[in-house]
Amino acid sequence: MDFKEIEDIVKFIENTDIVEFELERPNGKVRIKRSIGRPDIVETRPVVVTPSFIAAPEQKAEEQKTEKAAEKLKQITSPMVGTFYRAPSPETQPFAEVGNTVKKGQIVCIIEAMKLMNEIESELDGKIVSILIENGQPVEYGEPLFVVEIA
Amino acid sequence: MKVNKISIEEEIIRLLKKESHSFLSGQALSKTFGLSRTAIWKYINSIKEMGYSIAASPAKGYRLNLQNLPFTVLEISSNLKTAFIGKNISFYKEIDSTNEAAREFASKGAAEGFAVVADFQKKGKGRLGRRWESPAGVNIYTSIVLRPNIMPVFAPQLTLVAAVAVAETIARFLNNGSGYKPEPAVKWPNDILINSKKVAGILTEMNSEMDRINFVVIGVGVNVNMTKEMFSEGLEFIATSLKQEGGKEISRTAFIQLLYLNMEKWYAQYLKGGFEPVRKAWTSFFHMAGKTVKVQQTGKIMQGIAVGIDNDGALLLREKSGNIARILSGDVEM
Repeated sequence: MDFKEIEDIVKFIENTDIVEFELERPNGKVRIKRSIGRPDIVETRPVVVTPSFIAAPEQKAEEQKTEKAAEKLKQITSPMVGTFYRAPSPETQPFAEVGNTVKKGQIVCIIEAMKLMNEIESELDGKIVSILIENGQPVEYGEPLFVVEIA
Repeated sequence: MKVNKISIEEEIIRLLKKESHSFLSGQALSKTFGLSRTAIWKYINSIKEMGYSIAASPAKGYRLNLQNLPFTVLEISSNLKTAFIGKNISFYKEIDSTNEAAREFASKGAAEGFAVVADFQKKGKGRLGRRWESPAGVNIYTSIVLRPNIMPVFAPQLTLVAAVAVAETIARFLNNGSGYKPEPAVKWPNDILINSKKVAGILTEMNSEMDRINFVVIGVGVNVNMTKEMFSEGLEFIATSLKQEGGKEISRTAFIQLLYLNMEKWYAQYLKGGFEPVRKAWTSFFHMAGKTVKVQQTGKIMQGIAVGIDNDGALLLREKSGNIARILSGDVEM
């Protein structure tokens, strides 16, 4: 993972309401946490920066690669206004945790409005890299709930 | 043509109903079906096992007691006046949860109006994993599959559509002509209370995409003939049944038939005429307006005066500051 890649991720996050983000790769791990406004990187380890003395064509390939990395991140959004629940009941385990792999059609959370419980399914196969809303908090229509890295 | 066993039983029940004022002889039955009297006797026994009460006399034959008909698909289906709700029913003597079963059927393509009915639920459920007490032989537990062609954002209004249908059905059965007439009231969003005690609950579950509803399952539990002793410890103070409040045993078959009819009527009205007529009907059952209520949400309690519901069905709460809060989920308590 190089700085360009992290920069892409930061750029991607900037346009969302993501407050916490974690991504693990064979060559490193990055965790980003922010309150409001610009994200600040609080922890990165071990980031491998590839030396890049070599000229343009190679550089371009690198850029394409990182663009692809951002493309691999998809959001699961809320189809309605309501309350976000991570588990079917307060006593049970959450449907999904950060780091879990999810399959298309797998339930990841419930959105409730007026006692209508909407079980939200993942629309893709992948790994949950971020959960954006806290249990029991209100969500808006179209608000991102999860970030999934496509498998 | 191959005649299956069920259809012979159904046919015998039909004939017994027609002749219920007197006995129907075994000989007449064996002649009608071209079967031996022993074979007829076996069918009668199997009909008894379905829950029908049949008097048998070797000299006179068989007579069906119409006063004590069982709660079965056959009974529900005869005289059901709906166009689609309950036209196809999956009935269970016992089941974990009718909502779970209905969702399973729906995800495999069950059509709009398909219903699951159970006599007993082992894991009857309420909101957020809560239990819905579901003893055998006395109550209604049913879940209906709907496939409305509306945006998922509007779907929560269906919970109020269901509340109106259930409240209207209950009102009809409590009105038995005697002087005392208890009235059903809705507690936002859709519990039905009589004299401040819960008599019916509705749990709605949806499967949707961003812009399309795959299906909605509306689960309805009504305490019909449940007695005080049947509630678990303490629950009798906050829950009740139609029989306890109205003083009369009510036919579950008649209740569910009218429930399906009212559900279909209000659902059609909602799809055609929008939410406003539903909002008006719902408000007529809402007796908490102007009263101080508490709303319990995850990790938070709000207090204020219940104003009513807005055009989406959200509860409006006037807080001390004068601010009107719009409530989308939570438990409302007086």
